[in-house]
Amino acid sequence: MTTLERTRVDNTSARGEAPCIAACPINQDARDYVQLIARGRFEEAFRLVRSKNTFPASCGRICTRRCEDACRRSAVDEPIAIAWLKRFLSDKDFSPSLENRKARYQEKVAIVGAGPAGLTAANDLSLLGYKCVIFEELLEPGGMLRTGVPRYRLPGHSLDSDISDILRLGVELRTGVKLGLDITVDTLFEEDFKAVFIGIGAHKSLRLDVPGEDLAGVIPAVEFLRKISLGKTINLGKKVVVIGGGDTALDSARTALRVGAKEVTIVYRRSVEEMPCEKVGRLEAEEEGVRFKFLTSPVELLGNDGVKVVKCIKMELGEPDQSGRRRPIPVTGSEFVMDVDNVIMAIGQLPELSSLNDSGLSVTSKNVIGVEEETLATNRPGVFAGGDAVKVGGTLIEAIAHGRRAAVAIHGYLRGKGFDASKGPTPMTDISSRRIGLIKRELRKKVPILSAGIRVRDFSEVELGYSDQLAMMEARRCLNCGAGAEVDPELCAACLTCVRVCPYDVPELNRVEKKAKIGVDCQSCGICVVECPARAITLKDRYEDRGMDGLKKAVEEFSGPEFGPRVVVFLCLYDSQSEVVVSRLGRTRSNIKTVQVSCIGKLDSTLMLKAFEEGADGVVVAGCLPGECPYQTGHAWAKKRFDYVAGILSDMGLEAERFQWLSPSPTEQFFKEMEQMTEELKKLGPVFKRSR
Amino acid sequence: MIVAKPKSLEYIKKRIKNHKKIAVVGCGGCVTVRPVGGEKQVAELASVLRIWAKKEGLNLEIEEDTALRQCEPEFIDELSDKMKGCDAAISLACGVGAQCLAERYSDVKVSPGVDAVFMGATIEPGLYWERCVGCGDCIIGETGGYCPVSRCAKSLLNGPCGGSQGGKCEVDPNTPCVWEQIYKRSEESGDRDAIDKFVPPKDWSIRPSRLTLEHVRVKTEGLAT
Repeated sequence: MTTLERTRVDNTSARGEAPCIAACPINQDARDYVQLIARGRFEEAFRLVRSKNTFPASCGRICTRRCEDACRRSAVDEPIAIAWLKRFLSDKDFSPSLENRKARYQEKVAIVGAGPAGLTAANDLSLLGYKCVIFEELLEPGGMLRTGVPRYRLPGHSLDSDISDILRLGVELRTGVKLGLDITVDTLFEEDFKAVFIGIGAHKSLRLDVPGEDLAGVIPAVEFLRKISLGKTINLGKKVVVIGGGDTALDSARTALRVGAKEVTIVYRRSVEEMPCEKVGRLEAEEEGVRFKFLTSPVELLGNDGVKVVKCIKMELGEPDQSGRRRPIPVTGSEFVMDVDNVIMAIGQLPELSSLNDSGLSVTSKNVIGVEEETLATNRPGVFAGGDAVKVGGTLIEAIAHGRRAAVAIHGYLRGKGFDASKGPTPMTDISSRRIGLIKRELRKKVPILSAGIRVRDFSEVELGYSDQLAMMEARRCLNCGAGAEVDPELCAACLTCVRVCPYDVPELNRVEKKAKIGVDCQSCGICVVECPARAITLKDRYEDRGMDGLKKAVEEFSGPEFGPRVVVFLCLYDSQSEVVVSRLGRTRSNIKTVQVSCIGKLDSTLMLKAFEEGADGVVVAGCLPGECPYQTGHAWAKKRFDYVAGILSDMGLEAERFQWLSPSPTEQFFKEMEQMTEELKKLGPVFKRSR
Repeated sequence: MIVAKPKSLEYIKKRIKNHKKIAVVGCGGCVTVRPVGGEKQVAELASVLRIWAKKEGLNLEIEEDTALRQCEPEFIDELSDKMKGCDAAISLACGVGAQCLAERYSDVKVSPGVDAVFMGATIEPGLYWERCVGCGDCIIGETGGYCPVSRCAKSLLNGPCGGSQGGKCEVDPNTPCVWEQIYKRSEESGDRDAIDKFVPPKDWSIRPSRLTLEHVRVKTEGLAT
């Protein structure tokens, strides 16, 4: 079959944002920092993350990861481990480039509550030029991240690093200040604050309203987790029952195991499918020995001196309720009892609004502070609110998004400008189902975790994080959605080369303009970019240079003292041995310079020639091993171009020893061949007399 | 479209050896699409020549440029910046483009970098076949859409010859016999003109070497006639 006869598969539009970016409440540049990690540019990646996300270390650990749910790679195998990669960056302890800002404006802003929403608002307002003062009731900042998320999921030092990077912008933090007691909204305005942001979270546990709820030994989950997190002691008995099915229930159960409970059971009134908690957390809890009783609801707590028995009733699922989940209905006569020493109530939280009595702020029917959806402005001019205080059950990333939005709205309010409500970007379409089979499968790299037996002993972090190597390998799975090839219609000669060479059948001829068009299913393999005879195609990815920068740097380094024949080695960034080769050559051979290309199939013939032009005595193209190419055909195209260039160079009269195609693995063999080449080049001498 | 093949490097080296500053000039038309003379090949050739010049110790400066079409006066004019000061140029366009370049920059010694071989079609990328010789009297309407002038080794107008074997041409066993194809097509279509009628020898005298389209022409006077 000739390529002309190839059937066209359905094509996609060239528009739309990468779904990971579009799905994130703050439109975090997930694709872009993942691409930077793939290239080993960790510090730049971190700075990119931090430019929007005030809590990289925390988000990297406990984010609910809508980006991963939206990841187009899921259609091929598994989504990119975006959160693990973010956490990897935060573990590197880079400091953000943001420094202490001198306030540009007179107006001061008061922020009540040092949780993620308040701290983010303070961060962004400081960057905008405002002096911010945060008032926090507890002695340490962090809000629910500090008191509600157990340390085995979010270590204190990680949270501290996020917060210290915010405070370093010149944000003032006053701890031990209680709203409603030490300060009120009125006194803040009297103290000359011109705007107030309220981010007090939801720290009040909901009650189940069953008899016996006030018995000793019955503990609200929020209180339980807070005490443990703040280092206080709670003496639990052997048998603990946790009521609820969310993340707080899981956190309470797993924390209970770590502080001495022997038998912990989660009692949930629906079935496992309806559990609102994260699946990973549930599986980890199971491994640790937490038991689950589904379709069960407590009806009464009994005991004389303290709770001793939970009387439960079995449930069955009826029709779906407002939340879309099937409504649990008690099964008559199915009551049974469980012996307990403690009961932890984890059925939900609400904001502690009594602290806002007399503040004049309106409260909604859901018992949260009423705000305008877009601006987060309350009914009182100059007062804004966000986070769990306005939307209970929100996530960390939502709180951050609230903080960001509030900062812009407060700036608009103080400057007398409006609020420009931008409607986030629209995600691109899914990968065409007929194209999925053409993409090479590569499962995600798992983060190592502590074994269940070890982790229940204390609050050590369960997930251990990626090594550099693992992180880069994981990042290289990214399909780089929306950053692929792009045709400049001014330059396109409509030669159809791209249409014919694409291994994924993505480029097509725009029938109206008679120009090639490349849709969002582009996998960034770069073959069309190199093959385009009119040089009309570029990769939108701003981190992609196809080796040009690398070669420039290599050539500059050559200008130093000479230690032997100058050799440029082009090698594939995706090859598993690439890093080994680069670091060993970098350490041991100053005459050999490596240039990594993200797929050797992106290497242009002119770049191979350029290396000689710039004074290399020898050039090596180290293509990946057949079968290792993430693009499947990159290796074959690279070899074809190598043979072509070798032909021209030989016509020109250059010795064959100067231009070689070597396999980077096995590495020992490769280094041996490099030695041989160096010896041969010594005999041959330089290609031409160098001016420098 | 015009299909061309690169000239040997040996030839190009000879043509530029004694010059100080040369330009490698591509064309954005046919030779870009059938990639031997587009911007990319210009860059490749210029790079190879630079390496060679340094290797030989020649003091040779090399410019690169590509005209949108090297057979159009306006586009050739746009090359003037790069052509300035050049004493020689290698044109990667077909003979038409190379001549236009030589005519416009008469003080520059223009040499071809490619050989135009035929007017042809892409069978698949990298594989092109001749389809037209520009005979001036097209007959494919009578021959089922196949041109025997360009596709028959003998350009027979009343084929096939005795060398047609198993549907292939005796000159090249990979080339189908176009007259066998013409026969098959006329049987399928029921139009037997091509095989039943005698076609007299081609009158090559009617083929013009200069063409005037009066309705398109802008200037009517002052042109060489």
